[in-house]
Amino acid sequence: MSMSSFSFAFAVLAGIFDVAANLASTKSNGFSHRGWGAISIVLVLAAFALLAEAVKGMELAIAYAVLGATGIFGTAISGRLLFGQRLKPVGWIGLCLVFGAVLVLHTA
Amino acid sequence: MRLAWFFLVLAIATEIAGLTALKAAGAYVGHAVMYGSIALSYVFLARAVKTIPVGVAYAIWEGSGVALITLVSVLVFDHVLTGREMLGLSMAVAGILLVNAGKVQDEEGER
Repeated sequence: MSMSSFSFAFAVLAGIFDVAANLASTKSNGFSHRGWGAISIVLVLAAFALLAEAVKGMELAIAYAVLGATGIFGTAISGRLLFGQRLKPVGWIGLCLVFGAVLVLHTA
Repeated sequence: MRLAWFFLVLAIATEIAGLTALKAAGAYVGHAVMYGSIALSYVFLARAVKTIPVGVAYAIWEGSGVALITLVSVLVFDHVLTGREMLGLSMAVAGILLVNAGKVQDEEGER
């Protein structure tokens, strides 16, 4: 695997950890299940550490866009699948706009 | 429900504080502060997602995080906004409003 695809994998992994952190956060029920709460914090810190690793071999803007796409859409899709939290079509348009904003602002 | 939004705002504020510290302070101190405030931010986020759907809360957290950091760089670090950044800021605001409008309200009330 080349250096840049290695970094790309780190960025995707950071996004996946971010999604997992959000799901654990939801499971913690507002930190009343402290175990899930603690897992959530460990996962989000790991996500940032992975992002730091990714940017050693790729541009921060690209890494952040990859993390943003995985995080925003991954969380919305898993929230629907695991917790039955549905979103109207206008909400999905909103998610695309937020992702677009992350892309525009990080590459500005 | 209002309390959940208050916690989401706190989660965003701690995230911004961490990222600003990362920018203002040097490598080691900045990183330490950032990891600390990200952890704190997730404690607040956990409170928020008790009632706000997690996909909505995260999109707002991420979108307003990047938008506010841009504003902080204008206000604190004397950055001048480019046209592209103004476009990005408007997209973030519009996106957050739409995500919020797209929530399917739980008919049973709060869970």
